Amino acid sequence: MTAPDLAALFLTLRLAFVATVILLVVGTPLAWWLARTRARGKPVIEALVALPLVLPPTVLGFYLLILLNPQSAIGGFWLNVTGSTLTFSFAGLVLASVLYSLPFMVQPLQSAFETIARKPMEIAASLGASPWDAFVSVALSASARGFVTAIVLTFAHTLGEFGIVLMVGGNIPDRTRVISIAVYENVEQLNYAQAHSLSLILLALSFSVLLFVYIFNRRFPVHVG
Amino acid sequence: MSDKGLRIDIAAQIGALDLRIKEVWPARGVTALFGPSGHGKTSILRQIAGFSQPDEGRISFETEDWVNRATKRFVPPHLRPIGFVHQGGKLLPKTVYKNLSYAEARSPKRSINPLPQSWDKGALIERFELGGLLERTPDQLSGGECQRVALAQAILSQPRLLLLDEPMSALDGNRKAALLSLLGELAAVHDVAMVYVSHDIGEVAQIADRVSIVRDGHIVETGAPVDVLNRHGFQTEGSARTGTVLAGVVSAHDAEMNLMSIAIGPHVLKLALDVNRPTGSVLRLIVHADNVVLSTEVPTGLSVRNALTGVISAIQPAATALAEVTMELDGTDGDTLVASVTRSAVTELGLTVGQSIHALIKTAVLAR
Repeated sequence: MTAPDLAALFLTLRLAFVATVILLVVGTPLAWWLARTRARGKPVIEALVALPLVLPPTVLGFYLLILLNPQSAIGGFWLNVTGSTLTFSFAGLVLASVLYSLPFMVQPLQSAFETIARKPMEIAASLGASPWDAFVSVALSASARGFVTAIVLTFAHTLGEFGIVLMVGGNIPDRTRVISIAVYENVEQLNYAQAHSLSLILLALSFSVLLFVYIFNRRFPVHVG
Repeated sequence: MSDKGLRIDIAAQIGALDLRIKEVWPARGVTALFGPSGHGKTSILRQIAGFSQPDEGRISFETEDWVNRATKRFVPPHLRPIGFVHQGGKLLPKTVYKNLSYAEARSPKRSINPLPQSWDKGALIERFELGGLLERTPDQLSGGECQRVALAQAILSQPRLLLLDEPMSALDGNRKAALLSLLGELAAVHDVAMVYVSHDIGEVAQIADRVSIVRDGHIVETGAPVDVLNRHGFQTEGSARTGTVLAGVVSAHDAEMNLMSIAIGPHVLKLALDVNRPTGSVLRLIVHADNVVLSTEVPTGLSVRNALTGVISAIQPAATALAEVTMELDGTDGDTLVASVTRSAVTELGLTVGQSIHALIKTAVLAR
């Protein structure tokens, strides 16, 4: 494998890792809220979360490009604070990936949280457990499977994004040139052998994480009740 | 600290149920909420626990407001010194042992007067016979086992107020009797107040210090168990079988005949000996009306030993062949006994209000 392709592989893994960690922090409370709330606005939020599933990545990328460019409020603020642009940067890619993979984190968590009946949470409260204590001691352990599914799917999905990266990040080696872009570039330049090896890596990686999820889900059925 | 009791003055619309409660119960002893299903007993418990909030009104326990809609005050459930046993004995999705430890680990921060060692985890495992169940998860337990674990768990959390929703519905008679007296001890000796929801008149008659009848989201009446249950209990139970709750005192044990004497005013009933009820202990009996035989003369030559005398105070013919005859027992403070006899018997014996009558009780059951 060539050095640029190796760099693309590591950049992709780094992006997927950072995006997954951020989504875990952001997605968990959002999924908990969606699973518990009776607010009227819930379907609106659910639809917004699910949007990246159906929207072409280029459309999402286009809006992000407009939102994040240095002339916009957000992009300008970022430029002032950090001295670099959000577009065509790693930070911009992370932000785009977080939005793009949001449903892959939130939806499995939400359904895991929804299967935790209200009663165990009430029992925990009546035994003196604070809401945070009850969440950690009852809800988390009962939704371990949901977490594994959400983390693995988010990670795998971020590995494979293309359209949104192309729009927001472009193709800058070591900063925004991820595997999918590298494959595209190799094919464009008729470097089929390099395209093959990169594709094979992505294929093997994706297959093994999915296999892991399905084996894990079979091995450790979660008791709820 | 003055006992301001458990004060409830709330209104809440819960589905089709229009809950309107205005009541003050003492913050000690056992208050039973009695009435048919779907009339709001569980909803009242959930309001006291803080699992639901009222649309308006206020709930306070002793000196603390738990919820007050006017001032927007709301103490969340985990900061109220409560224990809650859900219907069916719902547990945390963990092993029995972990369920108990969970409660034990969180109890110190809420107990001002911790329960003595005879109520710690080891002791409760023994008293509730949970030793063989410790490694099981809730889905491996029967309904009765779940209820025993849930009760032990709630007690381990050292509550000041135990909220119990049909906590013994799946338990058999003997276990139920034993656990009821255990709860009675907890309330009487260790000052743990309880609100006990049940539609089982026997449970209520044994454990309650006061009974509130719940119907259509309201409390129809609150009072002493014998009075209230006799006035409402047997209709509320929804059974065709009417009867009477009698309060008595164990006056003697007869080990040779395996009997014990129970004094009801000047009358004495003999029942099978229960060694757990020492002489002098107060108990309540349930006498079903179809277990009472009436006689206009002093009965002789019968095997039935339990004969009471009184004066007929009411005769109510039913739509069926039966009539309910109510008598006021001689020498008591207005204690009554209801007998169910055929209407033809009323006519043939010439029974009338004001007449003296003998009642023979075939069987009476200790309330449990």
